[in-house]
Amino acid sequence: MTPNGRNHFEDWDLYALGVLEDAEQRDMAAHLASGCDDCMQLYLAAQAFVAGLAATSPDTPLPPGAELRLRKRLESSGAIVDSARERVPAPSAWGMATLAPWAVAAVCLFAAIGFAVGTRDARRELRETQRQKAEYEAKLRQQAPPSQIPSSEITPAQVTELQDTIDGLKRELAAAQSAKVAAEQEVKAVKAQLADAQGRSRELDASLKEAEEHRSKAEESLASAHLQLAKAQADAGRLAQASAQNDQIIALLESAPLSQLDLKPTGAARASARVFWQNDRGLLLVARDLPSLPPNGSYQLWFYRQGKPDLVNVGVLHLENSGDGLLFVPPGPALLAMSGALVTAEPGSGSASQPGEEILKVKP
Amino acid sequence: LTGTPEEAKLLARISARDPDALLELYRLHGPRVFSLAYRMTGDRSAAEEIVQDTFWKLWRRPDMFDPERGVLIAWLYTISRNLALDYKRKENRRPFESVINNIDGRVKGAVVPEMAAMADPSMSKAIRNAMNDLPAEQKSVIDLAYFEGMTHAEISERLGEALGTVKTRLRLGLNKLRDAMRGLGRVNR
Repeated sequence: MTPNGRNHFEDWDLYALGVLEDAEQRDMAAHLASGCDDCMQLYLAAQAFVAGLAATSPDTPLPPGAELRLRKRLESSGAIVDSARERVPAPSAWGMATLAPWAVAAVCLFAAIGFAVGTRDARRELRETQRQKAEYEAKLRQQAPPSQIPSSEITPAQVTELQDTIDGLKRELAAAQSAKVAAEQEVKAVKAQLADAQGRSRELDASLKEAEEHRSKAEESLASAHLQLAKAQADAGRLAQASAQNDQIIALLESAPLSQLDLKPTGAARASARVFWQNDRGLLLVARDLPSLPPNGSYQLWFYRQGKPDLVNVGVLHLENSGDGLLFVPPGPALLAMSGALVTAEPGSGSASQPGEEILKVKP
Repeated sequence: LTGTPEEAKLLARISARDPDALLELYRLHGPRVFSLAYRMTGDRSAAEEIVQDTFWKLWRRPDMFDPERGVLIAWLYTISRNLALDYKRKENRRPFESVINNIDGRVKGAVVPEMAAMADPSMSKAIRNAMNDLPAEQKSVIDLAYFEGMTHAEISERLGEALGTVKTRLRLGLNKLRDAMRGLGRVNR
């Protein structure tokens, strides 16, 4: 009967497998120790069954030389030369003949482990083992004077105890060496990753710099495109305005009745001009053979009118490369009040009230 | 029930302190024990050390194994598994081996017939096939329990499964393995 009242092989399977939690595992161990033979039968069967799971391990051959290493272990333990030793009379000095090989082997192993492992755990284990060994030797000396104890009275259990310690240290050594190799491999891998990351970082820096250059160029191109767009939009505006004005001019010229009046040159220049107008459609001035203007100069049209002021600014002529000038005046009060026209040469982009040099005029 | 006659002779010679008998036994069972140790540690040198320590225990205390109560390979598997778990954990979660040894030393006359099949190396493949026939989730919990030495709770945490689920899968898996082995005609319960 198990501690929890069950008596089933499944419970002992789990116990033998070691999956139960500590408290339950301890309870079942205590129950076995109490002497329940039925449960012991179940447990031994479960132990064997669970051990059978080992057979599911993939077959892996022993490393080369494994048997030789076991043989050396037997030799170093004295097992292989035991029979020969039995033929040799034991030395009279107690202990040294029997204990010395173990002690020497242990000390050598301890030293080897200390140097090879170099870990804190191994050193601590070494110190502890050395302390235990010293206590053990002191206890033996107290129990009997060396000269009274033949070497054959060093019990196998005592030798076994020391050998257990050596075995444990060897396993520690193997584990520490494996850990060291693993750590070195990990360091190597991390270094490789670091170098890789640094390489990628440099590549990324170069890519970033290149991208920034591209961005700068793109911004310049974008600004230039914006400028060109604004210019094109302005040109389009002007063209649209010119187109609308052309439509107005055509409409004026096609209208009837259409009044016209010629302007006469005021000086020696052979320039000529004519105005076409209808009060509802506006006025068009066409001038030809205009004399050259000083730099930045312009020609300006003025209307004579009744009343004050008797001369009003109408606008600046648009000059063609041929020297001809053109100006359209939309219908309005200025046109209705017009009684004559004057074309002047102005130094700049035109004058608001004071006319410059008179070039052409017609005055009623 | 106690294995082959050859095995029994070797054990008798080991008890008589014949080192060559231990080496012969090593040649006989060493590869199987090594396969287990290597499966558990993944480290060839550590696995060899564990196998050597297992046989060394038999050499030092041949009386720890009673051929009247079981099969030697099962005993070797048990010892090497505990050593491998020691290696994996650095220290035993439980004094498992000492419990076994104490019990073995105290109780006499117990008989373990279940794993007589294990004395026959050809049965390993059949046991392996039975394991492979298990559903993956049951095989997984058995692997973690046996080869990794995990408890129910640790398996539950590792797999992210409820504790009850883990226990159920483990019981089902073990029962199926028993049934399969019973089908091999070697295991009787």
